Amino acid sequence: MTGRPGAGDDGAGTAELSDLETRIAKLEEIEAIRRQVVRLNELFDKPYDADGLAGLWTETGYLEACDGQFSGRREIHDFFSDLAASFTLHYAMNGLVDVDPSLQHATGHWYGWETPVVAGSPLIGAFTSRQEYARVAGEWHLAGLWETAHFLCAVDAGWVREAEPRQERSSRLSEK
Amino acid sequence: MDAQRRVQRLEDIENIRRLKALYATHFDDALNGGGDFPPENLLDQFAPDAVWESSSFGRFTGHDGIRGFLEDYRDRVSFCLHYILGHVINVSEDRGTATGRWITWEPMTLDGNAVLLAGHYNDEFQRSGERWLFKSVQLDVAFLVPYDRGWAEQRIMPEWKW
Repeated sequence: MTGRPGAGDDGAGTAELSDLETRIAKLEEIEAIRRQVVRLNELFDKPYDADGLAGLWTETGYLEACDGQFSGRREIHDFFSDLAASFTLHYAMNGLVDVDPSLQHATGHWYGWETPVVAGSPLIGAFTSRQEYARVAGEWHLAGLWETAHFLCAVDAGWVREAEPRQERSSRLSEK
Repeated sequence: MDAQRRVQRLEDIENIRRLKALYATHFDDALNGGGDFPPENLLDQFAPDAVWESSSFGRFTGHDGIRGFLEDYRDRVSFCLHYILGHVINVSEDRGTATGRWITWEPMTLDGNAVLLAGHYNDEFQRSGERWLFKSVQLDVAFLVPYDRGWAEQRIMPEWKW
């Protein structure tokens, strides 16, 4: 890092530049992870390109979705291969991305909305997703994804039954 | 604008984007049973004299006023998700204040019925140290209707009362 105007050769100038580079790198990694999340949703909408999706996870990555737990690319690939939707669009919103100072690990939280067609019937779904990312060979991969489904209902039925009221959930928990 | 200020501006925009995403998460977690109620983590995002207002819900000032609104909301809304997108964030030159615009839709279960709300947020922010806080949240409701009735005939359901 030589020849930067105004920085001179003093330690303060170098430290300032280093701090700036670290902050820019963090912003760049947040943007890179956002792009990966867009890619994830694009592959959901192929629909469910199992090869492409499994490749977004690390070799030992983890997925919790649809009441199942899947470890490693093989299990994740098999899970997506079994999904039956003939059409779907996924919307990812409200993204929260936190990058570790090492720039090698990060976490995210997203809101999801989906519009699958299953057995000829249109559905709408709402879910939230907690995600962990790891950088492998310079690329961000999913180390873990935990999906919480809030509802998946027929378009003409609405979500009241599926997004069960708090009161019912509380009473059910208290029965245990 | 020098590099330090340009990076700072990008960080401010990112932090305000986070603040709004956390607003949705804290709000929904508290209503849906996944977080504490009253949601002090949500109220902590507001300046002490902040205002939350909407012509469809009313005007609520300060933490106590907003807490009261959230309590009323919980009494009627058993489920909700705030989807927020279309961020436009402007930070003032002196970094003291900022504004943000968003579009939103919110599926909710209101009084036991599936209801869909859509609208626009026009928010103001103020900086406290290195934290950004809501100075005001304004929600302009575009439609608020029973899900099975839709929004073609009437944008606000005639029986609406808050």
